[in-house]
Amino acid sequence: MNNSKHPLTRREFLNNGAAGVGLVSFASFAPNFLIDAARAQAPGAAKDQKILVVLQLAGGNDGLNTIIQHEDDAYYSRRPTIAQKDFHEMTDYLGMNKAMTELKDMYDDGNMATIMNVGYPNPNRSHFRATDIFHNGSKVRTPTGWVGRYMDNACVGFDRSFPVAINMGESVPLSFASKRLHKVYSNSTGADDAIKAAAVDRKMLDDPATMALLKKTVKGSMKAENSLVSYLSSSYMDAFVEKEKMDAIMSGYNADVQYPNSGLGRSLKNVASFVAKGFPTRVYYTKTGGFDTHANQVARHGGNWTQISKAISAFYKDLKAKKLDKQVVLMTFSEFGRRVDENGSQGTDHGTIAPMFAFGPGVNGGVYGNSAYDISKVGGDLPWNDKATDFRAVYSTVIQNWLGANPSNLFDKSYKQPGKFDHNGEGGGTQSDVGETFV
Amino acid sequence: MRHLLRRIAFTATFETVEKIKGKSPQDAVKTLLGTGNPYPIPDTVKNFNSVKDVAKGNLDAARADMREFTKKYGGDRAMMKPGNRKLYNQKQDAVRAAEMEVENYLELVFADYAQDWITFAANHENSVQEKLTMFLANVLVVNRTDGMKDYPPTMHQYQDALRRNRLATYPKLVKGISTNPGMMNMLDLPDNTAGNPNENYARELMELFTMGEGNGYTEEDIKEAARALTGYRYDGNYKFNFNKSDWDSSEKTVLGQTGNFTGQDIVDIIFKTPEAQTYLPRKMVEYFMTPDGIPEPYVEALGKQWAENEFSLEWLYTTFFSSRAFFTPSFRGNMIKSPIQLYVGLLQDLRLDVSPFPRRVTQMLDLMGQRFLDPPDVEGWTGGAEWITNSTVQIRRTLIESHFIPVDKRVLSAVEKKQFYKAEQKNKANLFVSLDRIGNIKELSNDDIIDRMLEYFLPIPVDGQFRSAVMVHMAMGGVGKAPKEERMRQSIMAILQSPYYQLH
Repeated sequence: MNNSKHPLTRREFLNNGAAGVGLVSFASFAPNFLIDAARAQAPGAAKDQKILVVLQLAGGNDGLNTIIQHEDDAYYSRRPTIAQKDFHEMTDYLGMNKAMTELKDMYDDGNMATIMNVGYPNPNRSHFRATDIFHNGSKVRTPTGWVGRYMDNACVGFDRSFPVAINMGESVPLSFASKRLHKVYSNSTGADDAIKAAAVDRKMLDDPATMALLKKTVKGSMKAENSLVSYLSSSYMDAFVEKEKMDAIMSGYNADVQYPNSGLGRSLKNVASFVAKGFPTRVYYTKTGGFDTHANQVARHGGNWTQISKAISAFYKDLKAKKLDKQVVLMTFSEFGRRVDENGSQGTDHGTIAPMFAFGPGVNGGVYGNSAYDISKVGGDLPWNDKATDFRAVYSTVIQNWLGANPSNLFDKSYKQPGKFDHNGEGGGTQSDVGETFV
Repeated sequence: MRHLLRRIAFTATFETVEKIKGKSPQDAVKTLLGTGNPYPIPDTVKNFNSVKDVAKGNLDAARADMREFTKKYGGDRAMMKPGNRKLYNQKQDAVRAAEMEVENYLELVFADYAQDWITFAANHENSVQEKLTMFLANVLVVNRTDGMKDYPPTMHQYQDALRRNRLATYPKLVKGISTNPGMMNMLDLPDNTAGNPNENYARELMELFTMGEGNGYTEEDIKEAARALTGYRYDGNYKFNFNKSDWDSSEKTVLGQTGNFTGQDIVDIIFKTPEAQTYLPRKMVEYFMTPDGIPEPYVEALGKQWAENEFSLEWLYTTFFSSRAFFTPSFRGNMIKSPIQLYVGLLQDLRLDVSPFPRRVTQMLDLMGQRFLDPPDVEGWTGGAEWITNSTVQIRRTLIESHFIPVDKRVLSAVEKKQFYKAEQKNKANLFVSLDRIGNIKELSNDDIIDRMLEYFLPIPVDGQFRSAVMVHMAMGGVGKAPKEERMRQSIMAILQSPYYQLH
């Protein structure tokens, strides 16, 4: 088998690893002794290396109630019970959901960029499939994700004592899947939640005496003659050791601000702990849910944004106190937007297009993309037309302008970077080849 | 023989060892191939719409409950007394959970399916049949994401086509599967029409099902074969339906032969090539013997004989699993168990029933990286070292440890309580290894106990340091220390969580 689409096998790795072209498995956390051989000559990351945090708004964020077209009468008439009459004014034409109080401050300070109307042609409305599309960075299923391909292209030779990418969630995101071997860490404090959820009917897990015995046996079998046993044992030991190390960094972290006591608050605090520790890690991934607002949307959607607003604001205040805020951009995405018309349960059903956001002093604050839809003229969904921006255009901008890598071979084609938004009522902005972009 | 059972099934169960004791390898394999039972479609898969209805009913009930509550106490959470706020939150959570279930009712359907299938596969009478079906499903791959098109019974129909023909000839199986709705969806066969060909199926037929990538065919062969594979449809009852008017009846040249071929003709033409003789045997070597492959002359010799035996799968399994090559000592314990292999084998090794909570079963499989009936793409699970990541190490440990801890009934939801009592009624609630059971052999010496545990659970002998660590742990008795049963329990857990038990 010599199929290039095939993630490489352990055998191919063992054969080729020393040549530096070797294996690497999906979300692999490979034992150091194997990777050392494959280490290439690229220099270690500089201390002021730029960092990207990706935040997924899981469930499908309602874009029209997040960024409000407050001068469009059709917005109110088509959403009689859920339209936001009260909002933070951004421009003469656009407003932010009232719940985004702290983010409005970031917007005013030029630390928040909104990319309007992001999507892709013929969108999928299944949560799973649509999420995969955003992770793959491709409408066609691919074995690799967009972050994985970025790592394959730009992170060979990364300092092996640190992960290139860290996942703060439960299972490793598909976006991290790569062809080559990269050290990727999945924070099992997050994973622990998922494990507990999967085994919540059981009493305590992780019996300390068993763990101690297991560690002793694994330590012994790292030197086993059988190469598969020693390989696995090393993987195990690395997993144990790394977990202890990472847990210690997170639990020993002194934040300069109080983070909100929410899942996202804890995740971002943990991200800050690694950034503050000087990790050269390039990409962090985390997600927050609750956006599948089919019913009673206003309170829930607002509640989500209240939490997000407080968490992101705390994150940047904390980083700023440590003079690290300029190093970090946080970008959000959601698997889809929602329908234009509200449904019968004061909610909205799965739709298509929604804004993406980027935060931090590293962004050029403002609104980007083409122009707003005329809500009286669209059908049930925001259509894919010249008003929309492809999500891969947003990814490409971040990869090129922030992470400093070439996005051209990461996606099916090259995408124009979104330019400044023109929001004079009818819209009319254009995507620019040059000019200011959001990052 | 234990090695054979760990590969051709999920583990060496007591019953199966008894069944083949004293037999020659060939007779043993024949006996094993003769086992198996029909696997009827699970009720919830067949009546999947009822799952949606139940989920909708639950949602209506949760919403009604919420309405009742807000009528009484008002809808503004901030104005409520603290106790009521908590209740409000709980009710809101219940509504959200119920909404998710409606939205994701297909996940519930497949959770039931997974639980039902694991129960079936863990029955030693079916284990060989199901393992061979898994192998074939990793060659002729259909995943539920692309294969079922929102109609879950398709997946059972597909799985059953492999199961029922697992001992047939391979060309017959390939022809059959190309008329299977799940496979047709997977590879866009219904879109392949005369004058407007879709090459997806033709390509994978050669690349992944029969010959191997770039192995003995050209792009031109694919184009021509795609024209022959036109007209494949299925009707409203999910029965194959050859639509002659969509079939390209003109002349094609495929692999050097010219004629007005149909799709089925193409399969026959493919099996005249030498590449088709070695492709599946090579896949078998990788799946059942060694991921590193064996020298090509061995595969070629096997393939040649296989062709002489009309590509009979039964012949191939019998020959393969009773060969001296298969029993080569260095091939023992040289493969990493897939999550399914680990899960089913664990239940059999510990003689336990599967969790009565279907969503917990699929969550564990998802977290270990093997979504039930949903390999990532047409190439199937690549497996091997890819199963092991820093998070799956923890999850495998959790899966194992959870089978040594009783269910805490206090934390079960109403639905789970029902599921639990249903399992108890059906006498299927043997869910964890109790200290009593472990105590059965506690009168033996520590040496004997350890030897028995290692021999029973692990595919290969452990290194000396491993054994002495367990020995020290077992010897740590005395006043105020854990009783012997407890130390045995911890030792078994550590053995099962160790890298050795992840091998087979």
